[in-house]
Amino acid sequence: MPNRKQIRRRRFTALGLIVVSIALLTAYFNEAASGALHSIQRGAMEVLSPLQDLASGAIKPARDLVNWVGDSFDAKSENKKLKRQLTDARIQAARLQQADSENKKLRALVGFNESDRFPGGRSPVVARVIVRSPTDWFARVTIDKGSSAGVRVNQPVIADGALAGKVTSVSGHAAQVTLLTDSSSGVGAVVSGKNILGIVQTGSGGEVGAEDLQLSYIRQRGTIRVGNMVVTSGTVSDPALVKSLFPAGIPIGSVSKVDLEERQLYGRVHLTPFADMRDLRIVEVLTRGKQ
Amino acid sequence: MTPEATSALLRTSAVVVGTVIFQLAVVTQFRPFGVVPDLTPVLVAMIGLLAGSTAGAAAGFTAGFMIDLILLQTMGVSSLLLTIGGYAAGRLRELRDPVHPVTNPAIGAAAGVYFALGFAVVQFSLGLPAPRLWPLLWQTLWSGAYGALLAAPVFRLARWAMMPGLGRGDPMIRRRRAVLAPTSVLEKPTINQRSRGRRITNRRRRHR
Repeated sequence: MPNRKQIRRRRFTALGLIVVSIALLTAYFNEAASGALHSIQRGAMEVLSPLQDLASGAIKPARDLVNWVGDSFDAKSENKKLKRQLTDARIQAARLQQADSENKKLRALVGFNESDRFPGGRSPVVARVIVRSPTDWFARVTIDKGSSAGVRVNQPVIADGALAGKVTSVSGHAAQVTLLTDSSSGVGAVVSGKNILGIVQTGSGGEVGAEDLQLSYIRQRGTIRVGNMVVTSGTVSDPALVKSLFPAGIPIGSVSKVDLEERQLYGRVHLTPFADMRDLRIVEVLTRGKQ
Repeated sequence: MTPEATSALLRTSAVVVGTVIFQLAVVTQFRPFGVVPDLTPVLVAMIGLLAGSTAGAAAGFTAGFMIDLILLQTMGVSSLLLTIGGYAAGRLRELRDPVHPVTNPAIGAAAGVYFALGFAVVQFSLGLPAPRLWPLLWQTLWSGAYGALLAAPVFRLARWAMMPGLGRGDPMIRRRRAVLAPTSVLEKPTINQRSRGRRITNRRRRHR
């Protein structure tokens, strides 16, 4: 049987650890991104990323096997959908080819500078996802490339040819990416071909792998149709206003639902992201080359 | 500190750190039914159940601190929850000393549900926009189910790590003792005890 002294020591230890946790929580919450605790986190990411990279790489065959089984089940239903999309894309490609040649001629006539367009002026760095957030509260992943590869904070991250998120923290050989589906994300976007501006945010409060994004703060909801493509606008709200972190023209997703019931001051439509947030494995960071 | 206790401490620390890295780098790559199985709360609960409240709280704090550090989350959230979880599991062992075969899966399930719900409550009180109710409930339910399923292998792992320091506190031995020996003189003996008693009586008669 433990004596009184032992019982008191046990209680004191547990209470001490709880107090330390609460103190950490309070200090971290009130601290700036350049603070001591944030620096410790970046240091830990730097030290532990090779280990995580090793562990993540070691299970690649098992993960591929599991994904292969899953993909085989999904293939049949996806095949029908993709065939329909291919037909639409062929028609669109024919139209775009014509528009592109006209566009080139006109750009040459006015001497238009293309430096702000994706991927012009940017050099993509390919990275592998080594850590994912296990909870539904954060949609964040860690990649195996950091400042040594030219990755910097706020650079856009691309997956499957579409915007997936942005870099929010960088160490020497790893970086943290906050996905579009995180509650803290927001991207200036435009409905392609309609010039309707809005902000793309998560539709579910930061759910990892969420299929639902929302294009919020739009004014002309009536003209948006299901299937319309949404791309980055390159500006925060209006072409005449502040420049966005993301270059213009990066695909984000397609309109999946226009909810007319949502009567608010500004309109809101639902999007399905092109990037598969549920199964991010390889991503590209749009860097400005090694600085 | 005895050499056995030092060995147990080192092995347990290695298991806790290794499990956190394995969880974040490997287990999070798989999402059966859309939910990532979480080994960490189960491991912390099992350590508490094996070695008591102090060890449970310390393991919980270490694991939580590492999770927050690696995931660049708000520091202190996971360590607070896991410290309380580990301490509670340890107190259960100290007060009730459960030896029933269902104990481990039940504690595993409780640990999974507690961590999923506790994390939601803390994040919600910190002002983070909550995920929709149904995915949150789905995650909580599956966390419990995964906790129950993972309890047996995680218990074995924790027991292996703590073996040198457990001695007579090893639950396997205590469980066997509880099955073979009545806890009270008034209690009815089990079939095993009756046959064992009969064997002893027969041996005594032969000696006479």
